[in-house]
Amino acid sequence: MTMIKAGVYVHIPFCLKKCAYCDFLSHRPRSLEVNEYMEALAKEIERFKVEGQTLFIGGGTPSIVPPSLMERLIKKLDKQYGPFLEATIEVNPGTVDLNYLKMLYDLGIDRLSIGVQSFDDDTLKKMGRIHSSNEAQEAVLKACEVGFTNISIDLIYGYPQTTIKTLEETLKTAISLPISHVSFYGLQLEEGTELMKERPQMLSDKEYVGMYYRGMEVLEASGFMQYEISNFAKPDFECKHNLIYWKNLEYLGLGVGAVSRLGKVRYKNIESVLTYVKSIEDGARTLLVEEQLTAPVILKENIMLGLRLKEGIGPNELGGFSLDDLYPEAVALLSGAGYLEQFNQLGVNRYRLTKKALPVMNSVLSYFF
Amino acid sequence: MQERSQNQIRNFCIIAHIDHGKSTLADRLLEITNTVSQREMKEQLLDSMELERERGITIKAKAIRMHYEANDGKVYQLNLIDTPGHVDFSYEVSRSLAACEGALLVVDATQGIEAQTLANLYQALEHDLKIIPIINKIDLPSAQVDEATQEIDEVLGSSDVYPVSAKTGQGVSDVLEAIVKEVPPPKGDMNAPFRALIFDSYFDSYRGAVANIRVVDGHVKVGDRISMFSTGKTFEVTEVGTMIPAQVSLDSLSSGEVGYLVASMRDVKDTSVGDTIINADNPAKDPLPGYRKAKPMVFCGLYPVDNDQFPDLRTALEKLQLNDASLVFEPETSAALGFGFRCGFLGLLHMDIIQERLEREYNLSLIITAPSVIYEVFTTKDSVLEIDNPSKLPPTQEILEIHEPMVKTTIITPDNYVGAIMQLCQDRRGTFKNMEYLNPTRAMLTYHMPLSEILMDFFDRLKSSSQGYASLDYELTSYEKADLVKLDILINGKPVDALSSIIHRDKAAYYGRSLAKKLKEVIPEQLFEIPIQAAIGSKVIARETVRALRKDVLAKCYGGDISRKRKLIEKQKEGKKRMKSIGNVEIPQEAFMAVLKVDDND
Repeated sequence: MTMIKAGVYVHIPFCLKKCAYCDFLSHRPRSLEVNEYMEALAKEIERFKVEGQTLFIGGGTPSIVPPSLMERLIKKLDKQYGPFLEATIEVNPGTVDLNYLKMLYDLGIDRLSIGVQSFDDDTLKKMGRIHSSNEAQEAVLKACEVGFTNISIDLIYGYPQTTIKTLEETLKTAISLPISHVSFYGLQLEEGTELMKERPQMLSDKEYVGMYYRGMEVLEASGFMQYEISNFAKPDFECKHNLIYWKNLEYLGLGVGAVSRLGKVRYKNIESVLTYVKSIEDGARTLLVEEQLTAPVILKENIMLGLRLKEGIGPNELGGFSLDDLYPEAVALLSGAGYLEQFNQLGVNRYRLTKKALPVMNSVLSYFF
Repeated sequence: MQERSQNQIRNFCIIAHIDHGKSTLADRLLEITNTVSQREMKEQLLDSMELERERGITIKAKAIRMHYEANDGKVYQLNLIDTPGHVDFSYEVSRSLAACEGALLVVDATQGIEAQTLANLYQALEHDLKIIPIINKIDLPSAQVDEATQEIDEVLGSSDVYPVSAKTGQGVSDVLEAIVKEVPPPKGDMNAPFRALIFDSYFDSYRGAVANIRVVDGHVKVGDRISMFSTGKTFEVTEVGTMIPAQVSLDSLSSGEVGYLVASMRDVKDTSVGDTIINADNPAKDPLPGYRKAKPMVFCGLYPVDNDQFPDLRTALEKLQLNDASLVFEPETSAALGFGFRCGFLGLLHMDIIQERLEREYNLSLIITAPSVIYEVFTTKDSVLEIDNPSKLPPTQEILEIHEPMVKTTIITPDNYVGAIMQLCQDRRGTFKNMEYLNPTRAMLTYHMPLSEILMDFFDRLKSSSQGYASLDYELTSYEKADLVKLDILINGKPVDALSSIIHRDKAAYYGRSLAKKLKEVIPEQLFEIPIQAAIGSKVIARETVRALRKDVLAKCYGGDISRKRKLIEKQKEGKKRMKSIGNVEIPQEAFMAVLKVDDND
């Protein structure tokens, strides 16, 4: 029997401090919670056999896991699923030093994703980040010094009370650093976050979209090519792990709240650390929900995900059909209005969103749902 | 029981404004007479339909029989006939009143008399009913018994009132004694040919139409052949009985009694409210007075959002009509909305109730067009057309005159709002008729007004002009000539027939501008720019643009949680399904009602 080839995601649900805008599954750990959790993770890893393609350790803040525990985790992952084509870990600039970075590098981690968000101290403060702009820049430089050649930073635009000026400063700093990849996310106001409680005055749609387009311009001008709606990379530095998601391929998610897609089923793990640890100890399943992916659902998802990508969608993703075979009216309407463009790749007709369509992607997608 | 003389029967109703405590008082009466035990009593028994409970109003009249041992030692049969509390159902009210000899007038001690109460009270007086004035809610700290008494005195010329708290039961037994002592017994002729008044009817899927009746003369029993005076149709009686409050069948009903009658009638149209039932073999010569067919005054289009639901909508309307002879509908087609029905209602509340029941009980998603009155259009071809749908108005050159229905509007308000209300009535093309004071601080205004102006959100405006205190009643009086024009709305350059309205020429320009503006507010931004125009004939009088959507929720990545993202878009799509797609424009339901929400002063 051949083993399933899958991307591997590991979720570390801990942060020193929750950022104001964040609605991801993370919290400040109680004492010993990290130890218990890492132990449980090790056991969960043993439960699955896949041929690992990529590794992504995300969070939360994986870098708050003490070095010894992190070392054990990575070795375990490597042994069970390795070798990987790409191994990424997310780090917070306020939690890493040279030694930690060196350890990661020596363990075979070859890609760092640094949560910078902004290079403006005021903005960082508003966001509730635990680091300064300088610390963020130093983190990048240290990573480089240790030997990392594939460094990504996350940036957020559209935060309340920010301006296109501060964003431009941030972008300017970003492109001056030795990085190969930028994830450029627009702020989304989410229920239950500190930011939501503040009831902030949000930027106008015009300002927000203006920032997005400015980011696209600056990054592309500096050689970061947009390959996905929010992601930019120097040639050949696209994130292989995330591409697995966007191509709706198979992946294994480990840890609380992590999602797996294996075969035609998508699973999601329980979200409570306590219950997760207990279930693992009891040898019980850690499943929160599972969803059978039927052919029409997969088709919808392929469109939804494929249109995020610069390479768009074509017969490969659509069961041999072209988008205009399946949705002739929607394609005509959207193309006519300049939201969709057709292009030719190796003799095959493909469709992708135009620049104008990117900020209104959900509305465009609703024509295919 | 059948032998009991009419002297020990009392038939009465309760006249009250919404929330003034009619149902609570009825509950206490049922409890004190041991008709229903406290435990059995769902909180307010008379209002049984879910919607009635929610809105706190009674839509269909019903009757309950109680047995009461009075202080004189005799046991009396008391029949409480419930009346609908709303102006839309004033004809039903008048038939219920006609079935009674007395009425309890319930006035909320914290609110005073309201316009609809007064309208019903005047009707009761016209029917020569003995009025027993009751001041309710005296247990509340804000009760103003003296003021309420004064208002009653002003209206009735008597300050003999019964202060009660229907909630606590205080004073309620005095009311029962008053019913026995003051309400006269029925005066029918026990030996004359059978005559009974239908004051309510409903459809029962097992027994067919069930008529609630008041026997005036003679008697009726199972096996009798009966005939409807208005149609001459005959039926054989299969069951008679009474409600206490569950239905109990009896051998017969006789002069003075109230009860129900079943006679294999297939349709509520066979049991028209107000009609007289007679014995087919021994027919009475004359009908009871006052019968007329309920005539709808307000019309609107009902369209399924999803065209596939058209047959379901038809079935639902047919089912509702089984129980509601005043609901009329016929299929119509709209270029914009597809297949639907033009429906006629007694009034706005009736319309609201039907719409809500269609959506709630039949799970239909509907587009409802703005309500319209019936216009009488005199054409150059010497014909008179009845137009209930603005888009059906003939071209201007074919119209000689348009006549519109006028109503007598009665408004009762605390006097400090009189100025604002007079302004409002004037803005709505009202002609002042009269003003009198019910007490030193409450005035009653009478206006002559076009009904169409009442349909345009008048009630809400009245409420906001009076901080909610003013109350309203209206009745149709006549048709009058008016200078009316058709206002069309074009969306994306195409006229949307369902958004057309008929409006007075002097108001058209202003109105067209505000309507276009309102539509711009309610139509959500979409991927395409949407021009909105208002036009009279071929002349565009207003133009607005819904600009293209700039951004929606940007595409955040939830890692591998692709289901979450997909569901987000599915939800967005679900929201779109509640809208009607006309051309490439998604138009929300509210847009079709925007016509009503055009502000008077912006």
